[in-house]
Amino acid sequence: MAYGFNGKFLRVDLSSSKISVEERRESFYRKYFGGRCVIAYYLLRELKPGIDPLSPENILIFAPGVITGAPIAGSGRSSVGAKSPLTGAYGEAEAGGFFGAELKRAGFDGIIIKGKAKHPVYLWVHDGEAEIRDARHLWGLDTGESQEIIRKELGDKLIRTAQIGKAGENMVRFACVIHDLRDAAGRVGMGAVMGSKNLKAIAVRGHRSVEVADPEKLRELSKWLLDNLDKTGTLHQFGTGAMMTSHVLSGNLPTRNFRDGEFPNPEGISAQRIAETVRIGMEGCFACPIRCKKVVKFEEPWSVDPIYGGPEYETLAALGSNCGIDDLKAICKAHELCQRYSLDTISTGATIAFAMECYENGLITKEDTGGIDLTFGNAEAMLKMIELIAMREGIGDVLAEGVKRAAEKIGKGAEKYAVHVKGEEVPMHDPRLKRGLSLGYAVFPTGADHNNNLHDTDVRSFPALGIFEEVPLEDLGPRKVRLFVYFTNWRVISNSLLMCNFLPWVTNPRQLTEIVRAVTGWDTSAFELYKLGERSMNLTRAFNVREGFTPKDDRLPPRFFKPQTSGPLSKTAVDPEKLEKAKELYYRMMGWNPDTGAPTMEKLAELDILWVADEVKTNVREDLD
Amino acid sequence: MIEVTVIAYGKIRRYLQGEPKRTFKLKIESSVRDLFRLLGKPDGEIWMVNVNGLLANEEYVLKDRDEVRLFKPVGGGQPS
Repeated sequence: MAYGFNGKFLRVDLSSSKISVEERRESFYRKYFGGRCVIAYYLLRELKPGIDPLSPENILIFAPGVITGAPIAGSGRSSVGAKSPLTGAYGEAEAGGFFGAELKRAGFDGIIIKGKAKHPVYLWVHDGEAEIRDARHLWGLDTGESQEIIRKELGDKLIRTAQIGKAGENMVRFACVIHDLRDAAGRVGMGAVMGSKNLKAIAVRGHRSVEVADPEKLRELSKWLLDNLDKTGTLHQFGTGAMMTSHVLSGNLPTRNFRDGEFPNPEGISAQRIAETVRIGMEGCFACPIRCKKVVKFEEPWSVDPIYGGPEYETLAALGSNCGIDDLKAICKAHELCQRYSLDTISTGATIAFAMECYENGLITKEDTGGIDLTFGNAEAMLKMIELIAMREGIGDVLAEGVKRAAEKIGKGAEKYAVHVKGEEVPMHDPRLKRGLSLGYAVFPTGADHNNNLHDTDVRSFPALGIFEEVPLEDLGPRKVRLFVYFTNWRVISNSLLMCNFLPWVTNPRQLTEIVRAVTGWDTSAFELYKLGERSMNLTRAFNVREGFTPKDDRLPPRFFKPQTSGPLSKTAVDPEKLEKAKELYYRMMGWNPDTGAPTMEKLAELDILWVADEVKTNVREDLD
Repeated sequence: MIEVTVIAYGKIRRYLQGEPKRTFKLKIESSVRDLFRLLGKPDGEIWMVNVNGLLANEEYVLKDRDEVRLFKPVGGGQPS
């Protein structure tokens, strides 16, 4: 009997309205597990290289993993992937909540969507069946309104949804996919791909449990977590964003487009202040007792609907400090608008901050903004910009392209204010503080990614994998690269299993291996899981090489090579030469060609994915012949 | 001897006997590492350091009337 997976993927061709089911054997799951690895597998196998990500040729994949839906904390996550319209590279984002678990309960391990519907549709997946339904009456609605109508017309209040709002419909390049209204598969524009296919939503409902091999072991681990909730810090109490003072004292709180280092009132935008003022509760994801999701509600000066949850740290910083804004209610309203319209809060905040710096330097004027005073700190202007971006109106149409393309359009040297990697706006962690992060931002397949990165402020060693000696924070030499390789190859497996990174067992190889064993019944090991991480890194790397990405694209924005204008990091910055050396060393440690950044034949063979060589045509093969 | 002011945040306050702020007398040329030893920082626990508004590390040599802020690091959005 199979545990942890259904053995079935749903295939949907929106152009022909054809739906089919693809069966997969256990060996497929044992090699690719789910999420990121499965998405990369299908994109490499079936996506034509060089296509426009917003054309019907793109393939959109919803993929939970073997752990998703199992009765263990952290198993509520699932992935959404496609070629990214923001970067042109491998695109994927993950979300918590219930959607992924419900999809598994409905009998499917993933949905592979091709083509484009003739008019807006939504997909209804339930207990082993699926149908494409008309969504013309939902097009243009906020996610909350849309979910309510879907549940009503299908007659089930427990239906879970992944959907887009106006930003996705308008193909804003950083539109996200909203899961269950409160969670977001946020990054690199998966919502825009959904919009390009005229796919408003996926609704799922399932009534079977995800069978696991050793439920007793999972109960034991769940009890351990309950007894050790303190290992998750204050997440249970406040959620993310509870350490704003630490962020400011270390220079890590992005302020005014990553330019400055001092933010006068960090506590004013903290999770504690939210708890004291506008929070009405905390919610959790599937099977998770940590319950780190804030729910906020208030009526003045704006009305904020609690169905959309509340802001995470990334949102508080992106739409707060990075725009110079300390108005907590305005940030909460901005979060709510982003959930309504399906906008990634990180890219939205970063793009507005970019526009604010352009405005302050005269590159855009009131004439361009339609009379809006776009100075840093103007909360009303920030809220207005969100509306304009989602609707692609006025200057919002330029900004909806993301900072890279917007800078090209604005010209006049605007690119120096565009803080991005491969086109993806940088998230709310400063590489001038975290040297490991600088390498990760540069080399990771989706662009500037913080989720799988080495936050070497608190990760200085990894004893369980044999790195015992602490590596200093400011180090970017061979010891740091080794730590980076081990840690990130391990950490990225979360995206294939899938498992939430906030669980303490994510960085505990013994416990995580126990969980995979208990769910699947496989006699697996930390070694096998580490190789899964490497496979994931190599598949996604290969995808980007096939799309024409080279080591020149593995770069940081120049802003990080200069110190902040004030504050704790006003005398330190990333050394570009050291970063280049670290990058080359990383390629070599990963078994990649240092000149092309492409996985070598030996590495692909070692990971049992030699078929990828035919896809990327690695130039190393000639050396071997 | 030099005198430095130490301001601690969060759980590190327990190493200042629960006070948010205390002054300490140290030998000339003492480093932040020496201060950590004096306060009894446990091995393996990471404390971040800000001296007079700038990020510092354990090697930093303290000067008279330095203001040292000690706080726990923040990782990837989650508390450590």
